[in-house]
Amino acid sequence: MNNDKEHLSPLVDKIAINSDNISLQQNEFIGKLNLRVKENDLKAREVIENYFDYNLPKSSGEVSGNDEGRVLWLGPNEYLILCSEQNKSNIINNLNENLKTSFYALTDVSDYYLTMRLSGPKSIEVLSKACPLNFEKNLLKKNSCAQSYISKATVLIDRLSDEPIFDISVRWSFAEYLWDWLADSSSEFVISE
Amino acid sequence: MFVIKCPYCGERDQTEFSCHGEAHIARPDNPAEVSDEEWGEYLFFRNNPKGIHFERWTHDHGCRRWFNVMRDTVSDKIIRTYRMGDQKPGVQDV
Repeated sequence: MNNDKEHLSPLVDKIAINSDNISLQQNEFIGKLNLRVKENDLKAREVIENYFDYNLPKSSGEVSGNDEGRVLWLGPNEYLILCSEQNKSNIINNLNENLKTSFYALTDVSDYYLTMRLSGPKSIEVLSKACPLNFEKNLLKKNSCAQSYISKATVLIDRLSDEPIFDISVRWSFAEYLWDWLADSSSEFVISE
Repeated sequence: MFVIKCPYCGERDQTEFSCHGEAHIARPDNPAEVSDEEWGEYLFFRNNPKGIHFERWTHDHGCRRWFNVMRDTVSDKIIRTYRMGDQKPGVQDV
């Protein structure tokens, strides 16, 4: 996997930031699946929920999941499934099999987005510089997500913990731009030794 | 900050949204049978009221859903936002 990453990622030459206040690093590649299923198709939703063994998120900003994977709310009939690369084809095959008679769409979007992790006590301050989200209402706690933009890049932000740890997914072609922007904005909080 | 309430995501900054013109314009059921004038009316002519206006908006940088907005073109105040397919609110609802 590591070789793949070095070969493919536009962030391969970037230097991760690690400091007490703020950290920025690129995440390992994982499986990402976009699932569309109608809001009122209770039968299909039940099949999906039984397969995952947890409920689909119900409203904006919700995330559900367990140790094996997570499902993020993207829209009233749209979800992003995060899973390990090994598990991806399993999920695709099983859902396609179980949902045969339903109206749905399952798309492998693993390669659409790169994910970088911004963490540390100053991360909300960094994000607030160019993200219009109200951080007193959105992304307040563990397992919440929000779609918005940071500077010029449309992003999906996923809060992983009650500590400020954010996974920011961005379109592949915007990754380098966003990384540079985040690194630049973080620089004032990095305490040099 | 100008805040718009997305029917799905709640209150978000207006820069996440974009407007796509007048709402509630129904395509004629039988395009082959309507006159050129009626077709032109459907295709090109839009209301430009001073006051209450109904518009289609999208939450581009959020949930990417389309929804309708009831807006006052004089004050720029957004009176109501509602989902596609919901009943068009009357002016008396204001």
